[in-house]
Amino acid sequence: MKIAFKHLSKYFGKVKAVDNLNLEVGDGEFVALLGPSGCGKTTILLMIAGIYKPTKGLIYFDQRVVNNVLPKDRKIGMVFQSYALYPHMAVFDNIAYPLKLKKVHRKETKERVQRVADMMGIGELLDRKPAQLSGGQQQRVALARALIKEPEILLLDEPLSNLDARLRIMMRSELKRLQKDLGITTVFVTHDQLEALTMADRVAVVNLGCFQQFSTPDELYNHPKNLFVAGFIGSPPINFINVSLEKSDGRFLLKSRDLEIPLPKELGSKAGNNSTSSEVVLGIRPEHILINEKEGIDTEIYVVEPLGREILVSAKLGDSMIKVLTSPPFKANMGDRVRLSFNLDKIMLFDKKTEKSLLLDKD
Amino acid sequence: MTLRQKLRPALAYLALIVPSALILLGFLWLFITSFSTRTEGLRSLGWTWRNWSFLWESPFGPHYPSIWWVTLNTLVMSLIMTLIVVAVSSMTAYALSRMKFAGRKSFLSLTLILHAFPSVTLLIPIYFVLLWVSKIPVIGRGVPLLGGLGYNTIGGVALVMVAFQLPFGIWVMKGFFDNISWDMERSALIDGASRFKVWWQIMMPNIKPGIAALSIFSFITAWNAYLIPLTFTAGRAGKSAVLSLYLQNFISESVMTEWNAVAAVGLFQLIPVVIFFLFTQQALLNIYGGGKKGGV
Ligand SMILES: Nc1ncnc2c1ncn2[C@@H]1O[C@H](COP(=O)(O)OP(=O)(O)OP(=O)(O)O)[C@@H](O)[C@H]1O
Ligand SMILES: [Mg+2]
Repeated sequence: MKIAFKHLSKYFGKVKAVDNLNLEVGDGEFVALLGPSGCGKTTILLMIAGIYKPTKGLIYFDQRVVNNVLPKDRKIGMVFQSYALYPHMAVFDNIAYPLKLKKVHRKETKERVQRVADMMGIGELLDRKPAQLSGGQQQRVALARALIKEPEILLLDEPLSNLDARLRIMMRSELKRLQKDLGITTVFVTHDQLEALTMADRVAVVNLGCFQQFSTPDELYNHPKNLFVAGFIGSPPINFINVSLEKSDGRFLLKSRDLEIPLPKELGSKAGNNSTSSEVVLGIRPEHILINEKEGIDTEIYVVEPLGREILVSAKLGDSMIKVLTSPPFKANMGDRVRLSFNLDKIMLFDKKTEKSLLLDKD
Repeated sequence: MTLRQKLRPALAYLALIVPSALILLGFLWLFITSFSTRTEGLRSLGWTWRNWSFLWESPFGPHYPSIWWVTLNTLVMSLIMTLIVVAVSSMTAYALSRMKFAGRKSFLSLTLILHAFPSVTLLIPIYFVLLWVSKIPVIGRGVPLLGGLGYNTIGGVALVMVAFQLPFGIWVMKGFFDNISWDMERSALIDGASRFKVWWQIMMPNIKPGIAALSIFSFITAWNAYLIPLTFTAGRAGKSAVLSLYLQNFISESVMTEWNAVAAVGLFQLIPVVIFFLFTQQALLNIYGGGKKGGV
């Protein structure tokens, strides 16, 4: 089933939890909503589920407007962040509850519960009460309960956030696989960018109730539309440097007190065309900076942090700190002077005022 | 441990023991008196079973209802009242806790005010209301078993007591509902439950401690009620309506009051409450402790 929002808004009194969203989720697509805490992710899910009524705007399932359809008629399975298992019921009854409400025959219920429980690897736990389960097991029960009615849309509200790191990585791949096998249109909410980027077909970055960008993980990482997305995606985070965009001899330059970078012709003219003023923010990811001794910007090493596979170097440039990812071996020590050169194919430029990217073609 | 640290619990115990001892002394007197012909302070001047004879023969003559009949009456009234209070307050409290509707806030503050309202001041207006209800055909006086809902009927008394008990019940139940996560309820709605089913199948089982506590509390209140049954019943039927009123038969202007018999009946009325309380005090504490602990 396809899901679409048209100018969807939800206000709680003065709080604009969701503000004028437009979105289309394709049939069988796995979409992640990624954003910081309190940005309205859960509110969006609850509107899809029909628990909240939108203040404004329309929600479509396929071609049908469902604003006034009751939750029980929406064919939705949802896993809550808290799992929301029914503590007074055994695992079997928890999973069977949606079927019980549909008055499915006892024998069929039994078979279906067993089947979905086996699929989730909790077939042995059906007699237990939720309080007697571990977090990971509870999560599977919640997932089984959401899946048993064979929903057309699956909503997952931070289902992995209560699990420990190892289990989370395992469930990440399992969930992705399961979603592809079942082909259910899925909206997944998380504030963990790694989860969003690794699992989803497309990621919607949400902030302050608005979509910042909705695109593939690759697009999001390499061509962020604005400062927020660029800063939010990536770990260790991207470096931002305030510079001014200047033109001399027909070529564009990025200039600040500590650096001067001539831009390639195409890049420069694009930025020049799109910018509203000369004040620009230069963004460069830590892995796109090269450390060497000969050429580039002169800096001093502030600290060196080995991460195992890579080494994270912090270098002082004027008042700001530049993070650089480099591969071992790395010889220099704290206090040494090194030179940094930026991979100009990978740099990003943003308008300081509008915070929009200067390198994207105008829509 | 310093002396000061030792003194604190000692003082606390002292503060608890002294009033408890005084109350216990009263009960001791009651106990001794009920088995004595006469007493002098706590000293019995002769033991006897005669004061308890009301258990097998009516002290006011054979045409008068037996104590067992009165006990049954009290039990029925208390149970009915408990049932109504629990049912109505849990439904009301669910709506107040979970739904948005016009007048919700004012309703809430109104129940709080009613709970704090000195009920004695309402007795006379309610008397007129019940008199008026009596005049309504059928429900006024014609209902079998309860008699009706008007003045001088069991139904009428129960109605008034329910009304007085409801504000408290609603507040207690709302507290329990407020403690249940919204997600569980939303999840049930998405699973396909109606509002009523959410209330009955998901919410109610999870506030069992609250239901237990409120039931016990209502039951004991009803069992011990005196003022309201006294005010809204009249004549001999009234005096044999519930146990607390039955006692009144012993007190009359023409004959000397048999205090020993009064003590025995009083003790008899007390026994179920004490037994009940012993088994349920844990649940009762819940009402004031603010909901359940543990669980998921
Ligand atoms: N029922 C409500 N009444 C009033 N305000 C609400 C309500 N639900 C959410 N909000 C507000 O709306 C905003 C978005 O909330 P929401 O729960 O959707 O955030 P979220 O993105 O899911 O955050 P988190 O990652 O912490 O779960 C918040 O500012 C929140 O305070
Ligand atoms: Mg949330």
